[in-house]
Amino acid sequence: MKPGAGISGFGKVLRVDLTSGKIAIEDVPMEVRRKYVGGSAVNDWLFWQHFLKVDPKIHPLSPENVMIAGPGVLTGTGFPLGAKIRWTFKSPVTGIFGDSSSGGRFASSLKWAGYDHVVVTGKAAKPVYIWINNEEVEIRSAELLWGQTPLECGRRIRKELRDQDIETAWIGQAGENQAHIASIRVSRNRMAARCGGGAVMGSKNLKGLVVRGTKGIRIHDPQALFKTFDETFEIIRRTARTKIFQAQGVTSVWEPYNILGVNSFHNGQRNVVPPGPYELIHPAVYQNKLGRNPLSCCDCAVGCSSAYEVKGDETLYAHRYRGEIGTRAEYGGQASFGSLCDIPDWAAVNHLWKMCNDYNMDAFEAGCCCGLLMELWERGVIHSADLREWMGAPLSLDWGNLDAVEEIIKAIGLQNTALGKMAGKGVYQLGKEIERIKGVPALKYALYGKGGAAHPEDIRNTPAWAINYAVSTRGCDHLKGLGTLDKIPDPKLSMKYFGTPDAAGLNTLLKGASSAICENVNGMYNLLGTCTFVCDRDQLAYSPEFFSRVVFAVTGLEFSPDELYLAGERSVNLEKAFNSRIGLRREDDRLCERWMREPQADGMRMKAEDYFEDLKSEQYAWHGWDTKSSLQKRTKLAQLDLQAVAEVLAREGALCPE
Amino acid sequence: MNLEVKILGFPDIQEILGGNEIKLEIDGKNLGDLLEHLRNLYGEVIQKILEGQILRNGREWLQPHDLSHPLENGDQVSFFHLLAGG
Repeated sequence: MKPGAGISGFGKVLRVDLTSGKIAIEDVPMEVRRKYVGGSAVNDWLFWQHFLKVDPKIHPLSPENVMIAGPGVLTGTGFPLGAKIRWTFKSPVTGIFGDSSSGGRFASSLKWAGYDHVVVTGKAAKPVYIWINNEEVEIRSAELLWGQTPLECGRRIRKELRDQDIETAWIGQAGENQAHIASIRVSRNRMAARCGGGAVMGSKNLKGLVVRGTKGIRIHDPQALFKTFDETFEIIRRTARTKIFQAQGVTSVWEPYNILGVNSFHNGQRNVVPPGPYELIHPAVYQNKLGRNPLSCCDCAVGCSSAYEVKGDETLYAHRYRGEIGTRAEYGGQASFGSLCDIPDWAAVNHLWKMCNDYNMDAFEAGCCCGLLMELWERGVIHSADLREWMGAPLSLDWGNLDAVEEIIKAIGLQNTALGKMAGKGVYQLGKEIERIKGVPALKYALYGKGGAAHPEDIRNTPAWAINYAVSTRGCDHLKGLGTLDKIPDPKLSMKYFGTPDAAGLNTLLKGASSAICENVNGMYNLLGTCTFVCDRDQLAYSPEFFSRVVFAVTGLEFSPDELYLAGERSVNLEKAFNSRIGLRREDDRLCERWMREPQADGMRMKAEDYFEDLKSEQYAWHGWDTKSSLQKRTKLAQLDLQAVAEVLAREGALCPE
Repeated sequence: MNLEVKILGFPDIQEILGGNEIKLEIDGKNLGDLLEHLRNLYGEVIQKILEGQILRNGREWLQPHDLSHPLENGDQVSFFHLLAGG
């Protein structure tokens, strides 16, 4: 079969303009596929192309922004390490490049309908959803769905279309109300939460996408693909941590993180959770008391998620949620609400996680906002009179006040109070606004990195992570550079990449370099659509040779391991180039004051400023970027065959002069 | 030498130990001595803990083959699985 030509859907782009109602299908040019392979990297190319025609400095919530949905290259093929989709847009949270990924069968259905990418532009006059029924694509009214939760929308649409196999991606009320931190709910229960994609959809009056994909995918070499499945099952079987990961998912980091001193407590004032709350929010408590059955994302042979059911007497607050069924909070929820806000109760944490998912917002941002507000309350920066004015009712913000956190999440979702509006813009804007109103320092207590994006984990004694959080193209985040040598100290990997085993350790040696390599490696794996968490210990330990075989078996296109890596590196460089076009320079790659200047209260007692600037320079150097400005260089972009990108940057004064 | 040993994320080993934390008094001075002591106490099955990471006092990674790495009285040595995640 000729790749990209037939029913496989490989390389097809569906374009929907909500202003004009125009719908078009086109191919991704083969030279683009050779450079970017597919998935998130082709998303980046489509994003770059869009902003060659549109001013990159537009407001993210203007109709000129774009929303691109792109399943990974391996998504929908049955490859058993997850099936992810990436949503790419300009972020309303940070104002810079933004993207977010999720699992969910929606991603596979989109491929089975014949599309690798959906590009949505413009703004509908009234609420709509996009109906994709294989070749038949329509923009349909969503007026009756507006105001409904994503789960309710799904129920209604399946009933209306009499098809239980239909897959959906919706926004909730936070997105409709354009809270900047709004997320996208994909399939029944997976979230694309970072960077505010839900608000972008809301600003377009786009309630969701509904897909019936029944065409399937033609695999180039099914036998070869099945063989890679067997190899993957074997990796899963022999990987020592599979068992604990299946039992506890990402919450399994809870114990090691406390020993390492990276669990943020009381809004990061401490980095070790004290006994008492530590034991109450331990993952084993969840397993023993609330866990009902394991859950798995679509096409994942590991399965790290879990469904809970509250009977009413399992924990202190369980009686409030008697009968509630939902999906266990991941570490981000456990940390955001359990330890940042000091609500060490699994029934409560799961409920707050569920609230964030039902209103559709980023739980990291919501949790960090609540943690900041509690610290400001403790410090006497904000008082009951402020809360009465901002919420329209009395509210106390003592640590652990569950009622208060519920009220704030609700206010963010509904955007119906002054505090809801402030917190709906994310923790950075919240801190800034309170500082402006009160005239005293407030932002210095907020937990954020580049672009103001929030993160509830302490990174001061893990320098590679700290650099990731400052340089990541989508703003403060762990997933763009995941896989570091400080948390996973493998001397063999250190040797492989850096010629010395010594970078594997809790030290600053080569951590800027490690961060740069990991960004490119993650760029490569993200485009495939596999899950970040499920492979063997560390991103750097994935085998590009193996994935080169998998991609060939699926598409019939040969990409050497080096070519796959280059595709990842190109995607990082395109995202970076966009940020340079809107004016980002070295000084914008930064961390919040707490992480930079305040030594940790526990353990290694580190602060980032002791190593930050040196490692940032090292990071840029390993990327081939200018260490003074952080800008890209023509020679490096030429090596990546991105000369046209260099031309754009040169025209706009965003290329490093050489 | 008195050591505090934490073994996390190995349910079958934790069952043998009756918990995830043990306090030991060992006659020795390095990681190899600790591992030997654990093997004597619990048998070869304890080798499994070397499949994860080893952290000394929350601040220093130890490598399983670096048996001569010195330990000191009062050290906390943790064995666990950690993914690079958040």
